[in-house]
Amino acid sequence: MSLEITKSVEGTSLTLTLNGRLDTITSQEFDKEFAASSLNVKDITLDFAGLEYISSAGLRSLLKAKRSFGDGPIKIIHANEVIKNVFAISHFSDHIPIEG
Amino acid sequence: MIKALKTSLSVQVLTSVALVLVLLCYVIVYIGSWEITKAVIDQYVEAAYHTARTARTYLNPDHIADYLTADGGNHPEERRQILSEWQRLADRNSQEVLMIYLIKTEGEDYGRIRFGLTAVHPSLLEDYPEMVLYPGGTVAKSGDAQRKAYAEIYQGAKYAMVVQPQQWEEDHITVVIPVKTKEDRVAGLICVQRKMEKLRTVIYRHAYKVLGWAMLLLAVILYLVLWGLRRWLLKPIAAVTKEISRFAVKNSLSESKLGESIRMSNEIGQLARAIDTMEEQTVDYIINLTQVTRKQEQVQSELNVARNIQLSMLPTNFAIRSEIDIAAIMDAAKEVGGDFYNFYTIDENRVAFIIADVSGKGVPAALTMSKAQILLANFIYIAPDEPGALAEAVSYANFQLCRGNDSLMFATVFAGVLNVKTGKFIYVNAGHNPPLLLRNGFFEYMPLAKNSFLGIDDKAKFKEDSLSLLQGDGILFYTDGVTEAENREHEFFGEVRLLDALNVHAVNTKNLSAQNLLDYMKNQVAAFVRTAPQSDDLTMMYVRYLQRGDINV
Repeated sequence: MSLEITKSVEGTSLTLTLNGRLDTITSQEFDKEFAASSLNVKDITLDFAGLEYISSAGLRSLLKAKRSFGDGPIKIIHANEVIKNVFAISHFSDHIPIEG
Repeated sequence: MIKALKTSLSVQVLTSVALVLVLLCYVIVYIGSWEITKAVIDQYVEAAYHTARTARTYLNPDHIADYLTADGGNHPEERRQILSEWQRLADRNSQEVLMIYLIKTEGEDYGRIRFGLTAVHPSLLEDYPEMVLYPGGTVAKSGDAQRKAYAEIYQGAKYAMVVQPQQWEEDHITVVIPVKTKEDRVAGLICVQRKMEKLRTVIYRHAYKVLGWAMLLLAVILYLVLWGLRRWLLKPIAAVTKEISRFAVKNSLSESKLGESIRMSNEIGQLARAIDTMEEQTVDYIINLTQVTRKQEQVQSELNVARNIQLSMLPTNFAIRSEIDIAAIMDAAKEVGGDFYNFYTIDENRVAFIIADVSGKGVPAALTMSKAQILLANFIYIAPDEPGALAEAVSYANFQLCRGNDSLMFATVFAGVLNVKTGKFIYVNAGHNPPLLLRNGFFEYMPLAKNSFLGIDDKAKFKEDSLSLLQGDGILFYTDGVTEAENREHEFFGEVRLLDALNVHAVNTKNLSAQNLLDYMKNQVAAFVRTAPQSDDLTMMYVRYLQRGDINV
């Protein structure tokens, strides 16, 4: 169980599709990929359709991503119920909104 | 082992050398015998040739036809005279000339011979009584070797010879010379047959001599090979083996290097130097490894101290009030963890309960955890007993945690204050997992106000909730280490299993202690996870409200 990240850019919009788990170990991969991909884009969509689990370390990675993106528009789509629940409990949506 | 190697190597090398030498010896004896045989035969041939030439001088080539009859034809007297001269010739040569005879070949292939004169040494007839003397005029068949010799003569050779090994049990030779007319025509052949009694003696003597010397040489060479083997192979190999065995046990450099004691430029020398290099590098590696291990041990012991410090921050006295029964456990996934629980009395009526989970694991989480624990404990302790004060205390702690938090460590916290006299429970949930309330024999997740976690947004506002606890109620606080405990199939324990497990326990047991419930839950989680490694800190705290202070039960 690991994390796979696929990246697609349309104009100035970046979509990162995450497959697998975002935990203590894989969040480091996400940090690197995000830092490399988010340089010349204006808005970012994180597609969580293939993401099964996110740990608190993963949430922290998302916070760091948002902070490094200058608090520009980041949204999450296609999150499953488990992740939505995590976001709901922790009120993480206050920081990064989940759509759909 | 070394001795066995030495022995087997020596035996192999020596056997090979001995085999080669014996083969060489055989070749020498064989070639030598061949040469000697030739030389000895040449000597006999020369003597026989000389005899044959002498015998020829008595003949008149024109009377050959007469000699080839039994009675001498037209020249009987001459024939008798020649025979007596030949007999004297045969006798004079003692044992060596056995037979002088005159023949004439018949047929294109010299397949038959007609006998003429024959002189025989008397000893021949004594020695070989079975021998037949053909009278003059007798025609007999000739053998292959003889026909070949006759052919040579007719082709113009001065003489020819037939070697007859083991004829009449001894080696013989026959030399054939032509008798020619004035017109240079071959009228007949004189044959001189004699014994070569010395031939074998000479050859055997030669062979014994060669063998004798060869044996001596063999002994000397074997000795030298053995000596060389010891000096240049076995001793160095033994030294190498000894050194390697020593090194395998001691793992230290020897006082003298192998390459210095074995100064050889061949493969063994290379091996010795390679072993020296290997030893040096291994020793370096061991030193390096020892240092790294020491460093690791140091880090480990520091982690152990850190763990003790962290554990010492957890409350140990569970019997703080008679109205409540408290139990708590914390299993860190690593030496130090990001979870903590806390409970303490604020004043004569109120008790604070805090459970928190810092993002991540290990040392970074533990450092933030210490900070969060102290801040929360202090702010809640000094908060007045009035509405909104707990939320304010949490927001102060949040503000402090946000300061300089560049690494964005955050904590989910559930903090509550229970008035044990009235049962009023005021609480703030900052992004933490909802606790479960036991009431009337059933557990349920507690309704919670929405609040963010601590450490990220320093302007975050926090809302309080409140609840009146009844006698017999219980609250289970936990961290996501429980709901996210994972088995080998990557399934989570989850909130549903948690709720179900608690309700099964509630139905089956009444009034069991808080510790009993936590032990049960711990076993439930362990049974679910089985052999999978613990992925996150596992922390639970359970409080039973035994009796309200204003009611005597």
